[in-house]
Amino acid sequence: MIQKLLNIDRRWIFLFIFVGVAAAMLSPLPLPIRPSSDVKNVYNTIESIKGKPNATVLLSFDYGPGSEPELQPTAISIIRQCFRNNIKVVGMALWPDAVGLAQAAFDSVSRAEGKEYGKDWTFLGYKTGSVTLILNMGEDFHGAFNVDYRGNKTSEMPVTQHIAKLGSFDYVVTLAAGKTIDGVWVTYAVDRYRIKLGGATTAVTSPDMFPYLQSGQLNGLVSGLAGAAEYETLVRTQGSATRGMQPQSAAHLIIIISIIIGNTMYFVQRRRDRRQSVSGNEETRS
Amino acid sequence: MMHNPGSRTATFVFAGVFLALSIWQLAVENIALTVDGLGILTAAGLTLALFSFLYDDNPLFKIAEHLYVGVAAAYGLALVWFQVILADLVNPIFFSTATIRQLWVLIVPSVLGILLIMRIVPKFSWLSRISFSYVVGFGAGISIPAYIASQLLEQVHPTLAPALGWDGGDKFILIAAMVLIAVAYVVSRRGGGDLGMNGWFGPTLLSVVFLICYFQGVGAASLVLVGVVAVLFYFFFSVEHTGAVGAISRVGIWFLMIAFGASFGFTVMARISLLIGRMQFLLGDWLHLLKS
Repeated sequence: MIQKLLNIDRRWIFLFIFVGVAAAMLSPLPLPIRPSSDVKNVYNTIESIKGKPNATVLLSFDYGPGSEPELQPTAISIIRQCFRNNIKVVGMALWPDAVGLAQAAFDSVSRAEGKEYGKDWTFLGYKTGSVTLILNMGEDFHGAFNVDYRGNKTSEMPVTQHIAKLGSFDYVVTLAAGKTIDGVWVTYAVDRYRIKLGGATTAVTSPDMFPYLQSGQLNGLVSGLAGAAEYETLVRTQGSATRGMQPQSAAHLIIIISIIIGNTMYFVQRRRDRRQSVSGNEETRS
Repeated sequence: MMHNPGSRTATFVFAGVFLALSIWQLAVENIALTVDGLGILTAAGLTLALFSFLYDDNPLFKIAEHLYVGVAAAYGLALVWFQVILADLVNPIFFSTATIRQLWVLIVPSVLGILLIMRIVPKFSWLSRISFSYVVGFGAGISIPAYIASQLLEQVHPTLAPALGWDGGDKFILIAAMVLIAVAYVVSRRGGGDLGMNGWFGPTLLSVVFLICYFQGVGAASLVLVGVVAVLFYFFFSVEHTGAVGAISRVGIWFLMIAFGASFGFTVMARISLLIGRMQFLLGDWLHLLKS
């Protein structure tokens, strides 16, 4: 029995997790979501700039469809918060695959909140270069992005005409799946141009970001689906991240139980093996 | 591949499930035969094809995998062509009223870019070195000072400040760290260098430090100093890891183990989040089983 459990086909584990996640989705049991201080910092920074003339937030979409479940809800929540507070939003992408995702997020929220393209928000699209693009934006924003994704001149649109350089934005938030937070934004934008930077990352990369929170190079961090759910709680909406918390908890419970069972079986088996080898030695001696 | 029974099962089961459920959704008119509807069916089919790999490798998975690579490459190429090459290079050079003087900033990098491509022509591959030398020179010049400033110097202050009381923090952790080193040294001298560090001593020492810090109200940030010092000791290979050095490096190993554990936990969370995203699509958009 123990041997069977120790050598269980991993496909059974996949099936348990699949069934657990599906069951939690089909019969949801609402769990309390308490926003952490790192998530609150991003939220409060945006709240603090409302009412400021021409308050503008830059959102950098640095992720692809593979990270959509974790980062798209955060993007939607941040855009929604800005629009509700009449804060202008400028979107850009350092990843080519982020273009469609950014457009989807902007289109759905701007339609729901009744915001106008070019006046309340714009999307600049994707540009290559990462580091050189950030350096260009730091010196001359209109030079780096002469036109937006739709071909409008950034120097003529009401949403961007007052932006001279990166430092003109009241807050910059990067939604990143890879190393763009620390490799690009923190290293080249924060330390060189002294911008205020918030981040949203996948859960995989978030442990790497904690040193930057401690040093203040990042003023807040929304990490993974849990962070996105916390942000949805703060903006008082029930999106896909909040709905994803119950299945997430169910899957974690199954994994924890599997780890406990696996370890228990391992130690029981080890004890048996030792006993057998001791009795075997005694028999050989006698 | 189809000779493998697992592969055959995966192919037929996943294809069958997809076809049966899609026909059902079309029959009950949950999904219409529009562009959006076909998009949902395609996405559901490809998701199931990729999930089929969890059972066994099979042709459905291979088709979806290759399709993804091809589509992603073509999408990236089209996007770069329209948003970068056409918008920032071709149009300004050929279809604008800019003077030659204004165009130098585009022409020089373009020439360097073309020289890079020369690498694929053996006879002229040496020309690419000119561009590479520029890339390496610019890259090193721009990144070395930036990395030293942001990744090293900016991190030193918050590592030391709470422990040394620079920002009104508590000096307690410094004393705790010194006591830790002293205890490790004394015990190592008494035990003739062998502390039994593979057993109880390392974790106990670490737990004591954690508990003292917790009850003294010293912030978690202060523990960073102990962690940094201990892990640096572990990676200091010029001295044999025995006695006090061995004791502290063992504490470093425990810090590393906790970090790996936290990292693994976050990774599990991320992967489950991706599964949830796909499940929300399958059960919601495709099968309409979730309440919105």
